[in-house]
Amino acid sequence: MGAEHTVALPGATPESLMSYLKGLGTLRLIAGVDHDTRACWKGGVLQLASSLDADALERFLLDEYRPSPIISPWNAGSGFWDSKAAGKALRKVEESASSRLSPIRDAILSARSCIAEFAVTQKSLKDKRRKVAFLKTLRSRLPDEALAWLDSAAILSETAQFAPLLGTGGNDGRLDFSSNFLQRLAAIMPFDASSKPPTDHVRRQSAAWLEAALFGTAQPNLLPAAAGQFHPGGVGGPNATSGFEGDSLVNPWDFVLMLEGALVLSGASTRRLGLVTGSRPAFPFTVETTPAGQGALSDGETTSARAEVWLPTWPRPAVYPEVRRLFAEGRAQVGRRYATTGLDFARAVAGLGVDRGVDSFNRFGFVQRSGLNYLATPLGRFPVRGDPDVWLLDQADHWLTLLRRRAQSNTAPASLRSSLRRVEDAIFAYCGAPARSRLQDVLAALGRTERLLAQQAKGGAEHANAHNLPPLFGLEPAWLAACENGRAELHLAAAVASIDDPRVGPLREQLEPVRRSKYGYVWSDDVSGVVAGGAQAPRVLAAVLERRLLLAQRHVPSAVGQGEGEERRSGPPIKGHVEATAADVQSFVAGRTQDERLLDLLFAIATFRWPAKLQPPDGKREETPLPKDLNRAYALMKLTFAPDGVPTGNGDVARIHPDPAVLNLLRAGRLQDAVMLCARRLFAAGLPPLGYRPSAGSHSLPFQVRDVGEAERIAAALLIPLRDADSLVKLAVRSRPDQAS
Amino acid sequence: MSQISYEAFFKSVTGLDPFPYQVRLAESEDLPAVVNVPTGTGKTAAIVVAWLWRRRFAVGDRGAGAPRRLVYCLPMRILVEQTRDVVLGYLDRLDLHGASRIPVRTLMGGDADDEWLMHPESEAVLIGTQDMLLSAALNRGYGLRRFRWPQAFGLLHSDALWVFDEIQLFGAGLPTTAQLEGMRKEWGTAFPTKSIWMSATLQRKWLATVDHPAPGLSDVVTLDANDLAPQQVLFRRLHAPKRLEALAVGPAGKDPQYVKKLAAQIVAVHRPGTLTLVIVNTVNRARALHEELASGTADTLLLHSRFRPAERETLLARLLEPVDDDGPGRIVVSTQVIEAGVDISAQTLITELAPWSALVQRFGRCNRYAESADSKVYWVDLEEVRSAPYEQDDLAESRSALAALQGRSVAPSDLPLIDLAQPQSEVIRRRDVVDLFDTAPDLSGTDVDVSRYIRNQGDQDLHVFWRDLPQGAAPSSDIAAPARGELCPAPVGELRTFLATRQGWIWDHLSGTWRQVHPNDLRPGVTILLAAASGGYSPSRGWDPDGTVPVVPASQTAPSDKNSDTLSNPEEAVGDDLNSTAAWQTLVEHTDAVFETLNRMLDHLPLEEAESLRLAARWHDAGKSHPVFQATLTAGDLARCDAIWAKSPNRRHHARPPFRHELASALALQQETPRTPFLAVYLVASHHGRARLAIRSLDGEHSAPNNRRFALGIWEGDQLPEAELGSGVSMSESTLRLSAMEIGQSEDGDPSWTEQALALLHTLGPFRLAFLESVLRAADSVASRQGRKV
Repeated sequence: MGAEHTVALPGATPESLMSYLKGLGTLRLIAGVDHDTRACWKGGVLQLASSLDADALERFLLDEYRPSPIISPWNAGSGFWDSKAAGKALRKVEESASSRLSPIRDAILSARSCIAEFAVTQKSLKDKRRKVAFLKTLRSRLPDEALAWLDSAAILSETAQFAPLLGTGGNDGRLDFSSNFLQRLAAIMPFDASSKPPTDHVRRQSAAWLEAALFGTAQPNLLPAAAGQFHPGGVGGPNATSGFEGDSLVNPWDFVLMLEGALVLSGASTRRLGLVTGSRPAFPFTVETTPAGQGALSDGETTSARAEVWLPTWPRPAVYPEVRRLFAEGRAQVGRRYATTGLDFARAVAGLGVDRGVDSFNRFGFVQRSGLNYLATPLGRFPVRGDPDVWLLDQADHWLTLLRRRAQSNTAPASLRSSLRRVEDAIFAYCGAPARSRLQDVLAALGRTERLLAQQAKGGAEHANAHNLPPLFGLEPAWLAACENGRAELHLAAAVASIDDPRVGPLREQLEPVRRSKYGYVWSDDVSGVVAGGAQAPRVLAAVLERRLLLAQRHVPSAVGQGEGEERRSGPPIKGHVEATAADVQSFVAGRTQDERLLDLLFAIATFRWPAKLQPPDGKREETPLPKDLNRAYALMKLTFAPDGVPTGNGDVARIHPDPAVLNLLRAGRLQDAVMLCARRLFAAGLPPLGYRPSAGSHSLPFQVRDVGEAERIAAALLIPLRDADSLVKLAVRSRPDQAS
Repeated sequence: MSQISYEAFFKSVTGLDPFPYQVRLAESEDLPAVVNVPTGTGKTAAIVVAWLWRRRFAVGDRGAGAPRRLVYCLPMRILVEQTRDVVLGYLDRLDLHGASRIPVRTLMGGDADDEWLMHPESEAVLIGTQDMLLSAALNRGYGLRRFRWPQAFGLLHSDALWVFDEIQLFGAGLPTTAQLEGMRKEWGTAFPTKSIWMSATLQRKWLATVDHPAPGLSDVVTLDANDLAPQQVLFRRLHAPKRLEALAVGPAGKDPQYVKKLAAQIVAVHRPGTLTLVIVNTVNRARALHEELASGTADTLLLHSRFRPAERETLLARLLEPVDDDGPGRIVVSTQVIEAGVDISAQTLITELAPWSALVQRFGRCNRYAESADSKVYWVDLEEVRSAPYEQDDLAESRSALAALQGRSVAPSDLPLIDLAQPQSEVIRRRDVVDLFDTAPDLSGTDVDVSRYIRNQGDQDLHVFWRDLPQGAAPSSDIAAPARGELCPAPVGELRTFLATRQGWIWDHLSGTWRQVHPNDLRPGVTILLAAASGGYSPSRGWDPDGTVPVVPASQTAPSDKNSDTLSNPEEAVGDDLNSTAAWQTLVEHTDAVFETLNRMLDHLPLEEAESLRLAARWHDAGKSHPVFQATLTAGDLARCDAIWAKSPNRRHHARPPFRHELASALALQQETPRTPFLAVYLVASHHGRARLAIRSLDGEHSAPNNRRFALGIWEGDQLPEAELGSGVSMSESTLRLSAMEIGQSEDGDPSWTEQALALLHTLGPFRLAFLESVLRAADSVASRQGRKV
């Protein structure tokens, strides 16, 4: 059969779980009569291309559809164990002579024989072990057709794991889905043997419901019944409209097609038997709840959430076996592992860890609302984009797992929890719409968390280490390019954070009480190396500079003979793997940067896995022009804080010993004095500053600061590794030997 | 060959006259489904010789009735070794030479010998454990590189005569054997297959599963009046006297003295100058008991399943040495490992209470050939706390049966028929086997664990081996793969405990390194590397988790009969075959060689799909013309740039890992003519086992520039040059398109790769499709190997 007709099903949209599953169910059933049926999602509705037009499709469902064997004999409310509504519904099917019901009858018969042979009773099913054994027996014996429901509902190993999509083994509280399925069937199809069409009234009613279900036509009178977790709009409860307590109004076709669709979500054996490291075997596209990215929900609601399902849409018409395989494997990978949380899933979607050809995923959470009911709540749509940098998140994976564990423990401070939430929100936002600035948000959020941990670790390393949450480590410098948004904060943070020196070690040791261990870093008891400065970026940077100068002074060269030369040759220990441009520095000096952001990024980037040795700068790099407004005082002083010395113009390099007193003067707001101090040093080194006259005292170079803060910012800026630092010479030093004197 | 009678043939092969049932079996029109004869009555000979005869010597219909491969599946390694020796003995006597020699291959724990995969067209005897064979039959062959799984799967489900021996020990594997037989019937196979189940205590109902009815009575061979006539040898064996007595060790219960008391009793009933066999139910008890007895005068020996092959062989040889009549005699302490098939006969047998089928086997190890008039069997009752690994109900059943036999003989003919229920286990279903056909999840990070369908959960072993490793450092990735002789089985649970305080390493096929073991890695079928300093083994005690003495690593010499790719690691790492280095060979030369090899195979294998196979052979390496592949082969040598190469001596990584040439070949073939049968395209793509039902990129694969589609190192828009493929076939210049890797129909109305592959799977069925994959891959391997020899 060819696909002569394309039928859009406005009733099947990815916006609610029920209508999504309904679409899958319809596809599954139609593909049973026309194997070439294709389905795709266009304009937010499911489109079916097959040999059936809308009328034929409707006629097939009304008059020929053979319901799938959906039975749950392991549940008390399944009808196998009572003579109330559920029991009656089951018996009605057993007694019916309709050939359309024979698949269900065969399954019931097979289940009953298992019950008899193994003497299963309602009581014995309360014993978990015996219930699992019974489920295994059923899986070994039920007809092939009846396995889909069992596999959709449960994964069996030593214990049974139940798919959150189908509650706890095909029931939601006291609502048994399979029994409701049978009861709804009675409303939409005849159960008697006559092959004649059912009475006009029943068929007309059924047709009206079906049209509403598929095509979104006006809802006729609905049935008071329970829909369970699938359809938030129609769920009853205290404020529900009609008088049937606890029940809601249901279109029986909605419910029937929805369960038919749920059968598509039975995992492949390769998935059921797969070993998923460190977590429960997962059902397809089903993951643990992540609070992040659930803006609509309160914290209380997210903690009560049962799980999330992420359901795909695809734009190209696909045949059912391919769709079935898509679901059976439920591929969503983060690196090599399967996604196990909502956050993972977002990463998988952004990182192409999903099957190609899926254009988006719709995220639903089973959230406990209105008392005890779980409701499938839409949590947004995630377009599949494929960002080449998403894999960078893998580097923080292990640490985030530890952080999560720590944040979830009872003793974790609330600040840590909100910090984690900030990281996860940032990751979600990035994965939802990958962009460099959003990845930078992730980096900043990581840095913020690290700042918090460093703060807490100062209270005692033993305590901090006991929580099994080591300092962040292992991100690669590749993050920098991936986070590049042109802003100075990133460049400045990167330059400072990348400072390393064989004499005094990496810069992070001045930011946090850490020491190197075999595999990374651990918290250290020794907090003496960590600078104060709190949340003031200029203060922190200036303090770091001062500390590093001090450490370099204290450094005892290993071999005496060599040492002196080495000492003389090596400048201040503030050389970085990365350098900022003068324009970036000027932004900072002028107070145009967001210092809070700068600090967050600094803490994050300082944890990078930098290469062991500083690379010589790339010779081919183009020189960046100095900004016209570059602070002259800074330019002059920075020459005395140049790690590689200053070229004198005749091929020599002048080594100028930086004077820590400069920093004290700047902190006191005494810019003029600080400048003069540096000017003298430059002059002495044969680099006379422009306009400097040794005889004129402090008046020869008039500098003024607007406020103390600016002077402190200059002090901080002296730390920042600067690109093309040599060009400062032109700006601040007379080009030829002094002629004026 | 002139026509000879089966009796004469049997005698020439085994040196013995056949029993009547053995003749009936061989000469029956169809081989039976069930052979139900007592222990020690020559089941192995019955079936192996009948197969040989039908393959080579019988005339008429019966000759065609036997499948090409005899797949002999046994529950334990010790039986595999013994059966191999027996079969090799038969073949030696048959004295077939040259090409008509029938190779015998064994598949035992951890062994990755894949030579048998190279000859789909030849006869072969494959003898293996249920672990190795059933895992391979489920497309997850233990010890096989995962890219080889479909090949083994294909060969085991076509043209195979499956023989399951000692099935009372198969546990959860038994329903799997029945289900697979049912599915082969249902879905069809490329060539006929057949299953035969054998045991002394077999019940037909054990073989009834949801997709496989219990064999009919007419399908059973058992002893009849002819076999049991008093003048027959069997009569004497079946009536060999052995008197049953209880050994009172006292209320065993939780008595910590149990082992001591039992040892004292054993010493008391042991008779100097004879063999006493003690069978206990757990390895731990066997070890303790052996230690207790070792101080006595008699020669003592410990036997269980957890030894390295060399030590086990030494032990077996000692076990089978004749006992000095005038000496103190020998006491062998063993576990269940000895109860089936091991050909020894003890004067005195002491056994712990066990399920009835096990007891029947154990009794068979006493006065087996009616050589003594005064043999005794002692049984030791067990309290409930010691019932493991057995079910209490099974033990209760045996207890009452033994009570009734007290003081009487337990010769096979004296044993009552007991209706044995087969314990419930999970049954593998059709949808599972269809799903398992797909290996894509296993190639991208998931590890699928089929062990529950292979053996009972409690008896599952994995393999460990020891090497001297530098302390504190991860093992280097070029550590040689373990040789068979190094591997020791260890229970999954015990190893988990063992590793709580020590380190273990597992080969990671995606990164090509040894990485530290995670508890979830520990499952049947895997191989774990341990540091020799960690202890855990001694030559006399075998696997010994409490042992702290450093282990002496076994010799690492690999079996020398391997001409196939010798691998530096247990599994190939991702990426193109680094190991297929060879002499320079052009694409045309190699393609012609594969094509000819395939044709030779097809002479023996009349297949409807032969034309698709030939087309696939012609195109299988067309993708090697890809500039990335050529750059790797020529290593930039401009002098070599005049031809398109298929093989070269250069061993390097591709510039674009994990580049797969066969994907390029398949895409090129599909694009060449729109009418190309997809079967041929599929066979091309799957000829290294990496691209089958889906085309997908791998983790860590670098994305193609400009958001182009990419998979396995092939980028949308890559160009293949015009290339000669031999015999006048040429490939036109083409631009590769990867649109088919996405779900659904393309804008041009082309179906996706997966849609076509699933349709193929549906049409041909998993067994037939996998067989076709095996044939092309075998032809490629054989031709490549010959190319290397040139």
